[in-house]
Amino acid sequence: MNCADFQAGLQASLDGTLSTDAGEWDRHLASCQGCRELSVAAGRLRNGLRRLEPPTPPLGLANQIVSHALAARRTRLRRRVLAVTALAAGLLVAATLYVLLPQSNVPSVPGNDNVVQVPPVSQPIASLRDSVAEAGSALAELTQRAADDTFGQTRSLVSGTVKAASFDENRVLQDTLDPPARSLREAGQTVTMGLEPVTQSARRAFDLFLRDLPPLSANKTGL
Amino acid sequence: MAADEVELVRRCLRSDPEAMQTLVQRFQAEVYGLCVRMLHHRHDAEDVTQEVFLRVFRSLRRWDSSRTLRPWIIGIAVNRCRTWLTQRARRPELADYLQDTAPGRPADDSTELVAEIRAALQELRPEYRAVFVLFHEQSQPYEEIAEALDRPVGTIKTWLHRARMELLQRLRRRGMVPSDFAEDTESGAKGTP
Repeated sequence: MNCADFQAGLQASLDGTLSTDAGEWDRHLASCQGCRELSVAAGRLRNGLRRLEPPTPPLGLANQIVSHALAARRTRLRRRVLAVTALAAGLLVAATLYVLLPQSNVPSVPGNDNVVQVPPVSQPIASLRDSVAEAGSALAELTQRAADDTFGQTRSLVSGTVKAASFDENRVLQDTLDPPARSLREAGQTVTMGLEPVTQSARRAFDLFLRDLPPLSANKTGL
Repeated sequence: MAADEVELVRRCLRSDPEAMQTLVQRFQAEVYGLCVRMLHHRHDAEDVTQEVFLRVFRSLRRWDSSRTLRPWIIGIAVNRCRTWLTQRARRPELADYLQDTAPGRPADDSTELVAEIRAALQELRPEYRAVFVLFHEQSQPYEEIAEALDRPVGTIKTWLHRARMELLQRLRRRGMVPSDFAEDTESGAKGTP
């Protein structure tokens, strides 16, 4: 037996499975001081381990552990419920916004109920169209009248100052005043024609505005 | 696998306080004993024992019912102790004046030997220490220790043999081997563990 064999036997001895020949074992110990010391140390270790008291858990440790475990479980459950509730609420809000937002493109002013008071769809179209047309006609008439008035006043003024003028002179005066009066008349017609595209644009814009209005708002008005 | 363990675990999963109490009481001595030896500090051991069981209750659903509970719980305890040791190494160590006041401490001349063995255990690597305590103090077989530490049986045997040799060498160095060791040789090497 050599030292390696002895150490293997020593381990087996400490395992409780020693099957070494005792005579061979003793002969090696007698000749090897290192292995002898190891063998004695092993005996001391075994004695010491027998005297080593196993640590005893403190009283009440089990109760403490169970109460902590139950509290931790309750906390986890509460957190889970809260998380699920928050998730569900978030989903509900998101779904509600998804349903409602596309129908409410028109920004609403909080507390302003006037938004609901949308006039009937057909009436505003006719009203605006009429208004713009009336405005255009009125402006054209006003221009025409202004031109006529200006022409009349100028003629009376001139006729007053040149009362004694001859027929030829009057003809000359009339020929002189005709071009400005014609210009004023043409200007009035130009204004009337120029207002026509403006009127049409305003009409189209108002049509688009009415098309974007939600039907809900129209329903609320009782239409 | 004992059927009562499955039933016990099922009741614990239903938060039955009585079942939880039974489970803790069944394993607390082993877990706490291992923690004391691993950490060499009773207060830390108490904290870690509590942590181990809290983790056990939290992970019970993941327990493989084809295995026994003890290696699984001991495995968690060893891991928690190693984590605790790593964390403790990063902060200043506090003296634990209660660590040597265990009840039933021997009062004869072997007191020094017991203290020496305790101190020697603390010098071992944590995995060697765990294997040594589980085998020699808690009398667990190699197979169960291997299962708890998730290592092959051969590795566990190697660790235990190295742990013993380190302890024996330390006892020699510290003068725990008497000069007239001839008589001890008989009872030392050939006795039962």
